[in-house]
Amino acid sequence: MRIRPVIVILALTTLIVSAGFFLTIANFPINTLPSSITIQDMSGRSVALSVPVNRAVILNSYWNEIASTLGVSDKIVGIDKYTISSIYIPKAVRERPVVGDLFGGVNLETILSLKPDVVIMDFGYGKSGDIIKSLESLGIPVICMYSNNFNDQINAIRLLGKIFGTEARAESLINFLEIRHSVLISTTSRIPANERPTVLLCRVEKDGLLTAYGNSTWGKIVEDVGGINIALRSFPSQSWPKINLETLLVWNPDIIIIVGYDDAALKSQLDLIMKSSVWGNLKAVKDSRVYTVLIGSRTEGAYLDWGPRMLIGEMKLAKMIQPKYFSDLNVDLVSDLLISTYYSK
Amino acid sequence: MPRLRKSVFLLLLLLPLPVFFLSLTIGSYQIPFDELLAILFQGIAPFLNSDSSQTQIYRDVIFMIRLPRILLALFGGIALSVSGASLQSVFKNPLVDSYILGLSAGAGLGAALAIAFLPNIIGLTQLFAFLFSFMAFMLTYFVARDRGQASTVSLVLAGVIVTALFSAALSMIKFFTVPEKLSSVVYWLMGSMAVSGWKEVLYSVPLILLSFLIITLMRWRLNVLSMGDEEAKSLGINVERDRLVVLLTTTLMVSSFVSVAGIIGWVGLVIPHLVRMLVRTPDNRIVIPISASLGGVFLLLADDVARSLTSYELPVGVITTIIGAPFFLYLLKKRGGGSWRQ
Amino acid sequence: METIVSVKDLSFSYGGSFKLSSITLNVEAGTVLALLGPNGCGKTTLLKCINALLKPEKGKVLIDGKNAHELKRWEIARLVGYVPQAHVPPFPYSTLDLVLMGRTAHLEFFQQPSNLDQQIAEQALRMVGLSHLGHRPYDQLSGGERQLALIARAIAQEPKLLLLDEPTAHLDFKNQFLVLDMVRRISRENGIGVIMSLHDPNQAIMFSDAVALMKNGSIFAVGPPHSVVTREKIETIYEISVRIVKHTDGSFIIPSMESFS
Repeated sequence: MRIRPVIVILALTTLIVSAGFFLTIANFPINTLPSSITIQDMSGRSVALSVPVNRAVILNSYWNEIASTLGVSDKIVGIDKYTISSIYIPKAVRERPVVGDLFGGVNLETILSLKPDVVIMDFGYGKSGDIIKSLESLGIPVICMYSNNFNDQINAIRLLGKIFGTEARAESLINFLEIRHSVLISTTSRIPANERPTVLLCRVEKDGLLTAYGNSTWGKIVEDVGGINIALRSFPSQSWPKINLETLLVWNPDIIIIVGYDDAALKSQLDLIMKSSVWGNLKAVKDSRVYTVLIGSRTEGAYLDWGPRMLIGEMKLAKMIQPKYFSDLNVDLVSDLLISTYYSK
Repeated sequence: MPRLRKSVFLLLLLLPLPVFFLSLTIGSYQIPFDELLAILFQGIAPFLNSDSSQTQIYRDVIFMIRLPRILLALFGGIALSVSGASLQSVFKNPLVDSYILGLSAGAGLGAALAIAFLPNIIGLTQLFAFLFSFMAFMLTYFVARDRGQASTVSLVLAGVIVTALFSAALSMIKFFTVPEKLSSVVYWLMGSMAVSGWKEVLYSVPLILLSFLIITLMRWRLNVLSMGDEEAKSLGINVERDRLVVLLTTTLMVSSFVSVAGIIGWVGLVIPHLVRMLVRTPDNRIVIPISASLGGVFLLLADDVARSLTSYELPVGVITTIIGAPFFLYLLKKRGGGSWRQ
Repeated sequence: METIVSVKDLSFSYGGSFKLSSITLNVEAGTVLALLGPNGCGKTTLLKCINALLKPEKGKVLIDGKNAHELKRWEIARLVGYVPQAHVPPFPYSTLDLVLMGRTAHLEFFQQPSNLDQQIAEQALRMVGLSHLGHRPYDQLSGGERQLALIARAIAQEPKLLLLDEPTAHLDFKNQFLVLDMVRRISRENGIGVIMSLHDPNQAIMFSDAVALMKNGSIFAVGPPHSVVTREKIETIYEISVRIVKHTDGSFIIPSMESFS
């Protein structure tokens, strides 16, 4: 061995790197959009966008669901992997190319090959920050979405309507939801403070701990329909506080609502919590006020989710928490109406 | 046994070049080959003209998506395999790799801390991963040090302790983390170069290059260090100092990569092993450069698979494990415990 | 004659009961000093003190007039070649690469061995008669060959002093003599001072110019073989009765069988 590998390696790497940089600088793309309006997205960014968009990649199932209810499912050209399992999204949308997800990351090249006018996605968790930055560096406009309460859902529908040029249908949907929501709110306002039960909306984790819904979209529904969200009151700044059984005993809520993505998940959660020694001593258990709620979009009858179906979730929770005040509420009727009007096609 | 032929050595050393260009052509975005050639070599061969309407987007795909990612995979592979080979020499044990010093646990903890408790600012997770992997290493080293000396056994033991400690802290954070963020932590630990761009390259490649240069210059010293502390001292080496230099350098190399791409396993274990078998000598003067070239090629190809097998992304760490672990098992079974031997 | 190493009133302790006390020794260029003594008497510890691997509590070691414990590792390695017992390293370097490691002390921090270093290593290998095995992995050599390769490595350091820790351990009958003869020849031909620890007094008689008898961490007697390796002294340090057998090649020591019955 008489050659000097160091020199060869150095020369090689220097060559590759400098070639890479040279070529990049020489070919640095300059992106301009021909004619566009400025949209304020839900993270407060101003995004230049030519509307209505014809090709959108949407990286969350609930935004895909809303876009579909607005009748623009044919404009969705790419989805995330969780959208596949939603039964509330048209099959055609669920068969669009999957570009990844916000946790594992997305395949930028696939997104680019779909030639989207816009990418719509949540922000603030997972790899969302990096994804937004990468997409923007490629000249693809990104609309950031998020939700912390019912109003955010309304804003999201309105925003998507604007982006897809279906403002009228968006307003109709908003109208449908807001009227019924305001009825809930006004009914609730008549409930005296001493008739408001304490409520724990939670999920039982595999380790036996409970994840409570506090300062979050669902957590706030509890207060909207006349309950006292004990997790929200105890930890006002936390979205999903984790609590143990001792805290549960201290809180001893009047009502416990356990959520799950499907019946099997609900059953295993119930089995787990009912085994604990604390269970029998809880007020909610003694009063038979333990309820289960299907969440998400995986099964028929799941209603607590982001998106239009949240209204049904609100109404169901209302009947659980304040059966007396909401006795005349016909949830199934509203549900059927919502589904038949906005989810049929 | 004849020494490795010069031509074979050069061939192995230059292998990254064709793989580099091959990788530029791979991806879910279809780019016609003539366009690709035109875009790549326009600068040096102006007659290759591309004037298709798609040229701008092709350029974006090549220069904004593929090139930074390819460079990151290439240098990541170099970092992981070269650090593996170096640490195997320093620890006199062909079965250690860069994660033995608590690096991965440190990087994991740092990233988890940033994801769980800090605002979602770009680069913060990386910075924390880097700082904590470095901290884990320093802790390992100072726990192992006794009267100014850190023996191999105490370093390995200290690495185990620090890893356990950091993993426990990581579990603690996972415990207090909300489910949504928890999955961010889990996915971060899986390792991926899915959304890496020039910024990630800029953060990591210069540091990797610098430490690779240092290790390359020390490759003869690594041979001597692998003979054991007393013998190395008798041969004129300041063992504590040289070993510290190697440890610091490899930590720098690995943590700067881990901090932008997460934890990608098996490269540091499999590649140096394979190289020693292939070149039929443990001589680091040959093993280090060839490990660099094959390590770069391996991670580059694995990442090519990760980004082009499906429309979405596969975690590259899973791919290296799926290839690496059985391959390593095969090496061990086929050649017995000392698989690099004749 | 030129004194290569002089150990002056050296004391060392690991912290336990064992210690080296007040060792004084001198070795001249081109001569071989054999250390004899029962197991645990401190031979290896003394060699490590001379090689500055261990720091003495008292006294000093002068190598070529310089205080060994004030030198840097590379400076010591240019003066002292250390030959450990033949072993199997974790990585099977080729024999030539192993010998080439002897050149490390002559390299800068970031330097790789040059062609000149390669030639010096080949020359050292030739000196011990192993040039034909240069490309063979070191772990495939026989025990004797391995010991010779380690000696070649020490020679490649171009030292003034060679330290050997029981160079005949684990070797067969023939190889023991081959190695010792090699050591003596190298010492004479290159003017290198040698200190080696041995188990067999007869080998000390045959191959050394001076013998130091050690017992319990101190020098019991030192001098030319014929005046030190005597019946009384051997009986005292090994606590066994022996006989002197005269032969045309000299006188040798064998244990007297009565002491075992």
